Amino acid sequence: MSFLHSLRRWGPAGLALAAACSDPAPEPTIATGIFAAMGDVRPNATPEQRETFARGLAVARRRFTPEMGLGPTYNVSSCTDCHERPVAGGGGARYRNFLLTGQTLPDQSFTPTGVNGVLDQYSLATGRTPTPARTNLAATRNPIPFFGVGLLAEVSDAEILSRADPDDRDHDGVSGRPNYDRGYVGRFGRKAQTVSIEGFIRGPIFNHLGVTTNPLPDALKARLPVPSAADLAHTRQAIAGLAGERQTSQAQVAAPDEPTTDDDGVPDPEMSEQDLFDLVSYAMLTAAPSPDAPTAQTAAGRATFDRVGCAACHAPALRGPRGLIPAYSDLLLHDMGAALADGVPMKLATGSEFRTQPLWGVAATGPYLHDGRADTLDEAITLHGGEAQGARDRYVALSEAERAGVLAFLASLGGGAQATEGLLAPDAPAPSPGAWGGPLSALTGEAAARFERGRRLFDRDFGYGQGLGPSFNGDSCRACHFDPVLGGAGPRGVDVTRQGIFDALTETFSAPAMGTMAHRFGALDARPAVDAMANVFELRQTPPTLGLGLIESIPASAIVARADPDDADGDGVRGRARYLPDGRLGRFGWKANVPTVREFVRDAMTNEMGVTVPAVAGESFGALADDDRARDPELSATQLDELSAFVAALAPPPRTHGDVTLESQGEALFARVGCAACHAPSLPGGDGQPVPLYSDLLLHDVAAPGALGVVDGPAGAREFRTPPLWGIARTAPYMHDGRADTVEAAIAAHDGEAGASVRAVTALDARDREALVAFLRSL
Amino acid sequence: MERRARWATAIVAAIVGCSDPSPSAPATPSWSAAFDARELGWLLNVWGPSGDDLYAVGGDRDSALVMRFDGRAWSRVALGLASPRLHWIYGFGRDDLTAVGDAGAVLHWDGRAWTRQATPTDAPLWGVWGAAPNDLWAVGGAGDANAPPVMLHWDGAAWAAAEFPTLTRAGVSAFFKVWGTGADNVYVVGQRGVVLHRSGGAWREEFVGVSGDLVSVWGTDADHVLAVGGRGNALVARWDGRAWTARSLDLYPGLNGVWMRTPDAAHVVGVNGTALRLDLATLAPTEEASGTPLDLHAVFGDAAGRLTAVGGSLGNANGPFNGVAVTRPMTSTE
Repeated sequence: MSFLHSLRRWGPAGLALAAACSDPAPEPTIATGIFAAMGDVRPNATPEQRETFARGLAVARRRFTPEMGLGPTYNVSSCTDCHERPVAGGGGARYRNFLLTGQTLPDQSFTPTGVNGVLDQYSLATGRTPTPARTNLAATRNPIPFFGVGLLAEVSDAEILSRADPDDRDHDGVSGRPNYDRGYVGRFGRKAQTVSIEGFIRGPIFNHLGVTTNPLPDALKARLPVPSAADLAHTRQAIAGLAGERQTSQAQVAAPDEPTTDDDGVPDPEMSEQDLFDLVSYAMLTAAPSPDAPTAQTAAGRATFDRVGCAACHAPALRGPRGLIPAYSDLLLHDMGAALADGVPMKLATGSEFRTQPLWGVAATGPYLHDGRADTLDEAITLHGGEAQGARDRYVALSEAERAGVLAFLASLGGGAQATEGLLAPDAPAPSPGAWGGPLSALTGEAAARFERGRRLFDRDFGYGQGLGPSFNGDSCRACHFDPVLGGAGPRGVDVTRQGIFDALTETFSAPAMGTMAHRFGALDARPAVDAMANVFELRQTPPTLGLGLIESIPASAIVARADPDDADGDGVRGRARYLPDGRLGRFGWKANVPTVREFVRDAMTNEMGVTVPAVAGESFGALADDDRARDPELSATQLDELSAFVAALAPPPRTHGDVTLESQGEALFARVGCAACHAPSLPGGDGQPVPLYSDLLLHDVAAPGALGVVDGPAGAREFRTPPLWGIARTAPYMHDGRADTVEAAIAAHDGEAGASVRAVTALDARDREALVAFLRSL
Repeated sequence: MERRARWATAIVAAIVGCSDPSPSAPATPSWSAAFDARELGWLLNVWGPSGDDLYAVGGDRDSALVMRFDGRAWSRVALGLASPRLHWIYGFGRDDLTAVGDAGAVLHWDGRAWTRQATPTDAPLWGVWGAAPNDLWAVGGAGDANAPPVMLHWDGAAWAAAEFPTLTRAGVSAFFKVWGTGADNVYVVGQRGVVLHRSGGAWREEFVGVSGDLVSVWGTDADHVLAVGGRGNALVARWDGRAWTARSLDLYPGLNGVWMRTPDAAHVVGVNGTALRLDLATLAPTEEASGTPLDLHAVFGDAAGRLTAVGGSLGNANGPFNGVAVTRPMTSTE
């Protein structure tokens, strides 16, 4: 209650609210039944709505495959890929950034390119989507959290317009003007370009996943938690129980009414009306982040927040039909100055205008600003410009204690208890020894603490100030290795892209001078360049890191002993050991190019994250210096030790059994059809115990004749290290480029040295194939 | 907020089956139903050579609908041939009408029968206009990023693909409408705000300051031309003989149709029953209660002084295919 009273004492907001109300009704109070932990359903939801919320969350988490409609181009494969921080419904770290692209024309009009202005990174047909022709502008976007959007949808246009001052008639330097969408005040998106939650969901599902939908029919719209049907009688009925509200906005009716369609071969719509209804309902029912009770520091910070002028745009509350909604946003557009301008007009918003971002839950939803350029709230404030320049300057001039108070106040606006440096919940316990994501054996004392520190470091999102970039694919180890647990594999949407130059005349491959890595992220507002001659782009699926320590312990001699590079035994299966220039044996990576876990970590930190590593005698891989703003090495020797130790200590995926008899039959078939020739059931570990990895760690040519790929040193374009099969049931998709979503499809995708085995599997009867798959899924 | 109140009134009117005008707008004649089109199909254009020879064309997913007004009543025209949905119609008198539609369809009425004319495209055609019976332009395109926009020309004998310059604007795969004052002053508008202008015997791309789709264009003379469109928000762009001026009409959703009789004002219709009279000098809209919440797609004033607007439940290509046709008398100054 003290929080509510404090809010109501706000001078400017209180005056504005009073002015918006023309009768002597009681001063509105904070809405009740709307606050909960981030990601939870609103407490005031009905039992039926709670069921819908649960179904909608399941849809949000659904991972779409090409067979389900993903593509033809995409950035991610599920809604919660981007909206995951700190929980489903939130924002996203920088590895979920994306680019808006378009063409600015001589008359300053702007034509979006890509998929409605979104540049999809991935193509099912070509791997990497080329940048659309005539694109001359790109703008980085960071995913936006959508907690509490249903409450913002209920705020009337009049309430938002009551704060607009487009001509700055009060001469305070802060104007604020509405965006419009289909005749209603827009309120969602970085530029308030969308008014309807249905539109806010259908658009990104299509633009980022390639999943098509039909607009919700009126009958379903009428049942949405926020009145959305073009039926005045219904709307009146829906708001009848909301005391104190005399009119509501019908804005939700203004959803796009065009179906989305694509040509990926999956019948449209690729998401059912019921699933879309559940998803829209879920978004509408997400709770507002529950604010903390005020403390002396946060109360002082709130006063400072107001005094320096932040509240001029970050209006503490808007009046909705349920009461005051403390989102700390006026939902209006403000010019943020040239330094923050992205050049992208959206409806009425110019290239330098952005909607005031709601601040509830801000502590847990970094990075900040529309493109995620700010690591911290302090940095975000200092980067404000344009209409916010005055408030920014006053903030910078504050004492350290006063600034700390403002930041403490912001951190109190909800979500603080859920904030972490990555995605692991603050109190998430380490998995049990031997379990998915757990250590190989029980750890105690310093060993356990060290494992936990490594685990947190693996999960931590690196900011620009911590060394991220200048080019990167992910901003944490977890960004790619999270499926199904920390340290695991990665789904579509975090694939690495390799580039190469293939000369069709000579049938030779060459690596670009810049290397084969085609980074996904670089400087803001630009797509990292690829070699101008590059004509082969190959995706690389994230392999799991579980059990790497055991693999490292396998003596090189045991691996080399299985090599048969010249097929001396005439079985059609060769297997080549890959040696590095220094004579060591490579055993990690799709091309067996890395010899040790520590060097695997060094390589990934630099190549995937742009984080420099310390020089260590005897260790290669990883860059010691780069040219970003962070001091090198960006990963300390201690951090490298702890991270490497964590990875090395991860247990391999545990076996899980179903029909043991069937699995046993499948195991025999696995050997009989020849799979075990490469997928060796076990190799001896360092302690002499067998390591059941189902790999020989050798290179094999398993691609179709003529298939183009990227050469990596002595590893040919069609050669790949035999991937371990442990945990295969939970690490789809499969193959080096993720082309197979099922074990069956993965088997069928083999060729070359594995051709005979594929033919043997094909010849099996259905029962035998079932047994084979059951065995593989038990691994 | 004025907009909100007006639309709410329209919805109430639609619910209670009443099309009486708002008491607050006495100066504008009120709109009323031209005929009951609910079960007939979408209606996408209305045009006619005279007050007793008016046509409305449209259809459903697969077939055409042509309605004709003979001065007393509307009735369905039996085409005598199979045709996909029709999108636009234009002509030169009672016996020379051309309608275009889906799948590259062009239908011609010669006073005795409708015939299908061969075209070199199977893309949808969205607009047709001509300076003379042997000088017609038809435009269209699938709106699919992988296909180019379509422009056809009729020389009196055959339809042929017309040449136009490679567009500077990216991503244009459909032209929506064509209109002009004569053979050497023709405008084409389309997707993503593209505008082509034909003068001096050649097409040139013009940049009118609009980023959204321009759906329709009309005018009265070379110095009074108005293009309208937008999908999310209403967009208008005016050519005054010297320059283009573009504006977003904040309170209104996308616009689909425009027609002008005088150089000072344009009649404009659009999504959600939007009906506006636009002052061409100021681009200020005056809103009218069309009486329907359905989308209006075209508006036309006939020689008898009637303004007719048509449309339907147009948003979803999968239907439903409900139509609407409303009409009102024009004042002498309109």
